[in-house]
Amino acid sequence: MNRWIPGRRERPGPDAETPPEPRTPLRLVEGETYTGWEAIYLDNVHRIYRLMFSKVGNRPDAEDLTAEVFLSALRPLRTSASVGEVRAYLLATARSVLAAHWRRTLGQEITAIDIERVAADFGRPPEAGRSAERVAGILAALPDRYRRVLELRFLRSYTIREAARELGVSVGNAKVLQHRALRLAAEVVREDHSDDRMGR
Amino acid sequence: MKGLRRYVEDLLKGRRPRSFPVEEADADALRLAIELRAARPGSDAPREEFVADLHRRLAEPDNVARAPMPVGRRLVLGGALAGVGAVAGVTIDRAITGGETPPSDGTMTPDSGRWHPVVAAADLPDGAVHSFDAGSTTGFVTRDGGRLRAVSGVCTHQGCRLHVEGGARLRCPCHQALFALNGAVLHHRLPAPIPALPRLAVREAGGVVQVYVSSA
Repeated sequence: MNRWIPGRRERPGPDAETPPEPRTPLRLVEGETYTGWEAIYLDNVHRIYRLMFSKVGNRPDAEDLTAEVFLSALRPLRTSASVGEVRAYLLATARSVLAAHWRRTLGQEITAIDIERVAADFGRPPEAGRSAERVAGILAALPDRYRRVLELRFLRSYTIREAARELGVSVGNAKVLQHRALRLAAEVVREDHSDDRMGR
Repeated sequence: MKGLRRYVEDLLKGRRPRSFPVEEADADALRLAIELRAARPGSDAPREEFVADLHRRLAEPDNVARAPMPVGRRLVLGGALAGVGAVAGVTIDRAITGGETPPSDGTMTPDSGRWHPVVAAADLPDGAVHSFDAGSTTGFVTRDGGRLRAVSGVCTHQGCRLHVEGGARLRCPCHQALFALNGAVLHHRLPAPIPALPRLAVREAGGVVQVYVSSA
């Protein structure tokens, strides 16, 4: 289950000096333009929402932030800009909208949008594969019970009561287990990221 | 610890999480909780009602003013290609305006700053002026001979907000002071001289013109 680690390390680091290979699919569409703001919206709203959801993990915030991106970005955009340009602008807007969200709510940037990394995926059809694989990698590094409680609660929508029953422990124990599992998993990620910062 | 638990519980229940005082260790756990929650199968697609509703909001005339201004095709394409290059990972072309203006407060240098996106690079052809409002700072960016400039949009006399006049000057509505796009004072009818407009660091990154403003 460790496939995800070598996969990430093959990519150039965030501070790589040399320009990366032209891996961005934006090149494929550089000559195309949108026919109007509605086309811009319909083509990108799902992408922006998905991106925001991956950064905040809840629907109300993801919806608000997505709306903010389009409400502030569509006005200065001219549709004669290329598809790549429009997307770059939406991404830049999304990045500052997300940063402002964290400043406003928790006072520090919990997650951030790495424009270069995201841009490489932005033009592609969505694939659940990579983040699912990453998460599977993190979970695989945990002791069995920790892994299971996180799986049940985060990935399979179990309530704490259902998860406790499934694990054969009391609700109180399940809560403690979940909390410790989250802390431990965060540590696993932190250690792994001394050379590769997550989501940054 | 309680705050973190409640935040995570909100994430799991799909509610809007409430803020709490975050410690460093919390931040890592939060980041992970968000990632795990976002990996739940099928949960990252927007609701159709949301997509339709936002579509309607955007269609309201106040929200999207569609008045395309003519732009030379050549310039648009040039900008587009440059933008794509930048997105591919070759950042950052910083251009701070030169020193031909009279002494002023110089370049704005906030203690803690961030790059604020102003306009798609393709939408700022040579000779164009674009106003921006970055919260703490308002101003104007221009492209002149391929070079980007950004200046504060606030009159150095009494703080009135400037507007573009004739596409190439900045006029103060309060006492009619007139500034050049590089911030220099062109004329005024005030008893004492006024400084030039502070300049801002400006760059083009990822196909977007950005200015450096306070992050507070």
